[in-house]
Amino acid sequence: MNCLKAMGKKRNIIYFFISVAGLSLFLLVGGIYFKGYLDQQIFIERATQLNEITAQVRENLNNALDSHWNYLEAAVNLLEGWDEPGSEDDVTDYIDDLEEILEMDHYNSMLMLLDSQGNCYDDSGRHGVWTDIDQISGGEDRYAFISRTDIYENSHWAFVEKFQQPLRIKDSDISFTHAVLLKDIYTLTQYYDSGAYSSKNETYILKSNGTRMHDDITSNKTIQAYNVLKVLEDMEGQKIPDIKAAMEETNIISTNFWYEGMEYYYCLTSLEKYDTLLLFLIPAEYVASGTVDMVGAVVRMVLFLAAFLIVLLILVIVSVTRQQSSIRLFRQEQENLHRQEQMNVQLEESNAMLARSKETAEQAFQIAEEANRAKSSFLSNMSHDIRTPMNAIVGFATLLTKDAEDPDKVREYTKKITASSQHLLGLINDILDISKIEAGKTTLNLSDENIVDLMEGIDVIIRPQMKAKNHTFEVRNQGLKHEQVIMDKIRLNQILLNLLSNAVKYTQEGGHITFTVQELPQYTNQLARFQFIVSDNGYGMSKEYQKKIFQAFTREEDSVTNKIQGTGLGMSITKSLLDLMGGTITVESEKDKGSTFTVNLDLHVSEHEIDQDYWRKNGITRMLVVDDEEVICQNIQLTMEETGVTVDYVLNGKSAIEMVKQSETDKTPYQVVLLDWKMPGLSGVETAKCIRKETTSKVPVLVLTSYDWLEIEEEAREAGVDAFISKPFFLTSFRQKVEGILSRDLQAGGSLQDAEGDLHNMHILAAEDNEINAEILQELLGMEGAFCDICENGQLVVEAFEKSEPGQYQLILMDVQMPVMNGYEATKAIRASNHSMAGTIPVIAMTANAFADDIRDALESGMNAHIAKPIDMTVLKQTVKGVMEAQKDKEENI
Amino acid sequence: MEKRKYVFSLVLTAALLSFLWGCGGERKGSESGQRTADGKEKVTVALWGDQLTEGYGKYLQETFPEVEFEFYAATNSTDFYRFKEERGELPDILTVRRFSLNDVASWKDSLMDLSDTDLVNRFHQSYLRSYTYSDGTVNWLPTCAEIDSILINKDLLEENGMEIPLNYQEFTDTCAALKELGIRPFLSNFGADYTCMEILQGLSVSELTSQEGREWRQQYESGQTEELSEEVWMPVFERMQDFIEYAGITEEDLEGDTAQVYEAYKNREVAMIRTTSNESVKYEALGESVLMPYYGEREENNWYLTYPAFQVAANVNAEESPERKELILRIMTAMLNEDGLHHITNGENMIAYSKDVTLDISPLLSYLPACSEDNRLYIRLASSDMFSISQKVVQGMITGKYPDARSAFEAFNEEMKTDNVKESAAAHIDRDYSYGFNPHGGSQAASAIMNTLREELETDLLVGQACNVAGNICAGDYTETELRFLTMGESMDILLCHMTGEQLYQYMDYVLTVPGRTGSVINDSTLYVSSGFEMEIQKTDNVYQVNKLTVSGKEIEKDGRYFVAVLGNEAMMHKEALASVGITEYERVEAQFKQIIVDRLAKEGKQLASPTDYITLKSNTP
Repeated sequence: MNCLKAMGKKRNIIYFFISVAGLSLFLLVGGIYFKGYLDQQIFIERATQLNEITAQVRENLNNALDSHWNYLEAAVNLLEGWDEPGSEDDVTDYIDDLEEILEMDHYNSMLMLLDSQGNCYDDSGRHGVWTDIDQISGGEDRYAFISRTDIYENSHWAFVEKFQQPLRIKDSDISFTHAVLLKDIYTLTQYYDSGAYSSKNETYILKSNGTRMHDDITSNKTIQAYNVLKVLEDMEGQKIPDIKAAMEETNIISTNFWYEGMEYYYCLTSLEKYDTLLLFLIPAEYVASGTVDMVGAVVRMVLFLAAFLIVLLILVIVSVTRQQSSIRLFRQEQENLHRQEQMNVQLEESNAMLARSKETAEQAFQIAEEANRAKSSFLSNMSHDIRTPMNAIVGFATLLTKDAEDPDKVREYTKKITASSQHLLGLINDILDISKIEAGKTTLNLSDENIVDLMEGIDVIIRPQMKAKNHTFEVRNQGLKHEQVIMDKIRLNQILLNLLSNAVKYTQEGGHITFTVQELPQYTNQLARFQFIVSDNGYGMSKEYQKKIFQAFTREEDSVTNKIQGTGLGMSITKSLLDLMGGTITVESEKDKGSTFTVNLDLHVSEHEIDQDYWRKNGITRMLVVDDEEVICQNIQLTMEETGVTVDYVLNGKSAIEMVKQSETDKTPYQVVLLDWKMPGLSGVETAKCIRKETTSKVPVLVLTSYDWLEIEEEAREAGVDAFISKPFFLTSFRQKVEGILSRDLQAGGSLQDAEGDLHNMHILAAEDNEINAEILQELLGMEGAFCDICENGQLVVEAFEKSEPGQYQLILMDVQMPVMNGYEATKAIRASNHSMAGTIPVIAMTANAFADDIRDALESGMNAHIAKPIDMTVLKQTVKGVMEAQKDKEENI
Repeated sequence: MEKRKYVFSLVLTAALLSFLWGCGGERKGSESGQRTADGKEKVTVALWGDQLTEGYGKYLQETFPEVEFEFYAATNSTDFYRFKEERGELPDILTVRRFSLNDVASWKDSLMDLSDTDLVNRFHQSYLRSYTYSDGTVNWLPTCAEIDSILINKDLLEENGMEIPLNYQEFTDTCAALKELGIRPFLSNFGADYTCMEILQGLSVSELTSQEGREWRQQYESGQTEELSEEVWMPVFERMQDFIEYAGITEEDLEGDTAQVYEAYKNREVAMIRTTSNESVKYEALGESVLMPYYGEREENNWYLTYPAFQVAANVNAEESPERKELILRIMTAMLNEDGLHHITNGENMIAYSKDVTLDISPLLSYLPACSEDNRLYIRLASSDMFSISQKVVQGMITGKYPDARSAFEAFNEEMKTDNVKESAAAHIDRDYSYGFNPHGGSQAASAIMNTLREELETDLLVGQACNVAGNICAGDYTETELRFLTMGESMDILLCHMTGEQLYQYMDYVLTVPGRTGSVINDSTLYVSSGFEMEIQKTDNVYQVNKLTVSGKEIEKDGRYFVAVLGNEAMMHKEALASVGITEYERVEAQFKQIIVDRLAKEGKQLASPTDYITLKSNTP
């Protein structure tokens, strides 16, 4: 049985091999046949294409040649009508004239006459016997052939016509028998150089016997021989053994041959009228190349498929014959392969890691180099920028000693020392700030803040500076819907103040500066998109400077701006901070026209959004807005949209009075009236007065103004104005004011006193460990009419406060770095004490630690504000004012 | 059995055929495609004149040391080659001076077509056209142009107050003036056919180059007409008639040869002669001369008469093997390149047809550039008929047979229209004689001819150069014309003298070693043939020396006295050779070498004498 099985198995294998061999043979034979068939088709395609193109070329050349007979005919007619010439010179001149009349130069042709001896004459005279004279001695009237004589540089097609009657020169035995038109052969090239073959075709002009018509055999042509057809007939693979015989049957033939391992095609056609053959020779690769490429692709595909089939069969055979053992081997191989692949993967990973490490190292190296360069540059800039104001301080201090007796000079020097000191201080602050940013030590202190508070704080700080330079300062609010957002208020404050103080500095006196805050359409509900725009009509910047404005220590070199003090770090800090916040800043500026800085910043909307239900709860459903600028009215309408309050607006006071009256009549009274102060016709105050007078309404009337209202506040209140709010209109501010009115806690006097921010008669407790600084502080506060008790450390301050009577001190100025107990701890202790004013007494940090983080630490410890040393009294007063106002508002709310 | 018989008969037939082929083939093989015993390729070159051997032949032998050239001097006629072709005896390379494409058209397929070779690219197309058949075949290529015109003794004219004539009128006036002074105006060898033909055409060159003249010529050369155009040719004969009268040409001038013309010019007996630029070099030593063109009515119509020094062609058999063909083409290239042309002309006074070849022009041809630049170079009409008929008619005009132009014109036309009567066989040669040189015996053909000549001259001994015999001699019938083709042409002299055995030794040493003469030995095929005695020659580095001379195997008696015939060029070689051994008195045989052989075979009905093994060549060359 086993034997039978083995035989059967063997037989199967044999059958299988026979089948494979048969199939392979079939594929081989089929492939050869297919290849032969394709080659034949390609040949036919190429020959057909050649025939078509050549027939066209022949037609063109025939026409081109034929046209020359017309010229020659015209010349002969003119010559035959010519009077007998008197001399050889006459002949020369007449030829010249004829060439001009027939514009022969234009057609690269020449005219020549032959005398009976065969001498030729052209427009330059007599030239001896024509070398081609034997070609026109067959007794015919016309001849055309290619002529090559020493007279002219190139070969020419010669068109020769015999005169009916020879033209004689008077009284001479010279007579002219033929006129010849010579056409430069190279100007006919256009007719037979075919663009279809990228001018790769060689053209041979032959006599009907196959020999060259002219001597152009020095050119680099494939066939150099005189008898071109004979060479063609002897070429390898030539299908036409007797070309001349073939040409007798048809006037165009195309076929191929091989020469030096390269396939060529040629096409031969006859210009019968000229006893001429035209032969085109083209390397096969340029003939019907598109078709050949396509066929080649098909053949490759077929071959590939055939190969694939054969491989497949072999694989099947292998799998059948080897069965079990092969499976084991296969598995083993698979495992090996897998291991190898794993190793490859590991190797690739290692390589990638190495590459990454290398890249990282290179980057680190570059960064280190960059840092080194930056450090050098930084030190260089620092050295210069610090020394400059220091130089002034030291210099003027020296002068001060010298001129101590002259009060005017002392004031002048002091003023200059102060200015330089301020600059130096600003520089140090900025340097410290930017170095911290660059060191990556700056972090954002995000908190739930009100953007309107931010705007108002900025307004409070910047408006006096604006006023000092007589700038018109306009704050605009456009579509602000989310006032409560998560932000680092101090940093954003720093950014915007920087932009605005730059606008103040770099705008000529009496300029116009606008500060716009607007909210752009949201992408998501969580993010509010703010745009802050600071625009001025100041000095502007050059395009070049705009490109590097955000680089540290850059200032535009300009005769005007050079006089303005600046560290050249502000914009770099601004940019760095915005980068940290994920915001952007752009600048548009034009020299002498002004600059516009645009800050785009996305901020998370606070979860503690303002209670929009406030208005309904307080019975406020309708309000009237009166402003001569309709845009402002509409903006207020838009801002109030989500509050549920219906906002009507009119554009003048008179209409407002009417509207209020009407609302009373209709029993739909307004709960709030908001008046612009300055309007054409009735002003806001006058309108308020009329409302109070002509109606019984107790409606709260608020005046909206962008001006300082202090001067009219008394008059206004008498007229019935309940409160003032600053432009632009912010919902929060508005609500606070309305809240205040509604609670009827309008304390005009106290408010006004606080608003002044005056330190006069104020009792201040101060902590300062440095004796000199303590003395300076005491003197400065004394100058402002304030009383100051100074403690040497935080512990003493805490003790002094705890011992004080409530109201004894209105303010505590707290140094931070002190022995025994620092300012933060002291503040915390104060806030934690049992004193009745522990939670309310304003504490202001007064420290040389001027970073934003220090400010944050100060606030976190319970302080109300932060001012940096050295003490600037203006800043101190503003800060105190701000703190006091906030304190007051807080108390009011309570 | 049947099958076996059939196979046997086939084998037998094949053997017989190969035997027969072998007989003919052996002889044929000696002409082409054979190697010598020392392994050199053998190439047969027929030279149109014996003057080519010492310069041109030597140049070829030196250029191709791997080739053993078999030179022989052919009759200067394409008919000679037609005769050779009919017998399958064409040499490997053919040269001929008298040429007309029509004359060789009938057997053109026996020649190699050169139209697809680089050789033809050397030529200007305007020249190449004359050699191209209507089917594009090119068999023949020209070497360089010989200029054939009127040499004028300028010194002589000036001594007599005359200037070189510049047009036809001045030429006739000069002739008249010279006659009055008793000086012959013009002399030439009117016995020669070429002189008659060239002067006839040259004097009327402006007629023949006119439009009508050119048109008639094309008709004639293309076979469209067989008669002269009256319009063109009547003025030609009228001018010839006038010329005979004013130049004083007489019947006596028909007897003179070129040597006599030279002597008369040298002796200032004649002021003007017809000569070629190549020949004119020898006149330079005789005083200031100028080779002037043939005159037209105006100076602008003066033309030089030119023709190729000779044409070259190759046997088509060379194409049987690519290597052989390549060799033949290389040899032809050497024949036609600048070096080759310089060996034809000594580099002087010819015009090259090839591109990039310049040949020097001597002061003698000071007038040539003007004509050459104007392309006023008339190529003579040189069909075989033109030579022979011009000779007959012009000589008839000189003798008075044709007293006027009209009768000469008509006679010429008559001759042209006369069909060539097929010549009947005049002799039969019974056996073949191979021309090929065998170091042990020499050339059979040459030996047979020399032995025949010795028998006819009845001398004891005879010495002649092998290459004066024109190749293999085949058995068969010969016409009288064909018999003339067996040997070299007319310029051979036969000198009879007596010399001692010692003198014979010296004489043989002289002729074997003297260089640069017509008759110098340049290789084995140009060795001398001895008749009546045998030679043992030593060859060392292509230098031949006599070892021993024997008569019937016994060394010649040095003091023995022998009646010896010398065949060769008297002026260019043998006069001096004889003088070198002290022989100044000798007899010059009137009968021509060629004619003696023809008479022996045709008139006497005898066969050629049997060849003998006349030479043993011992070579030291490895």
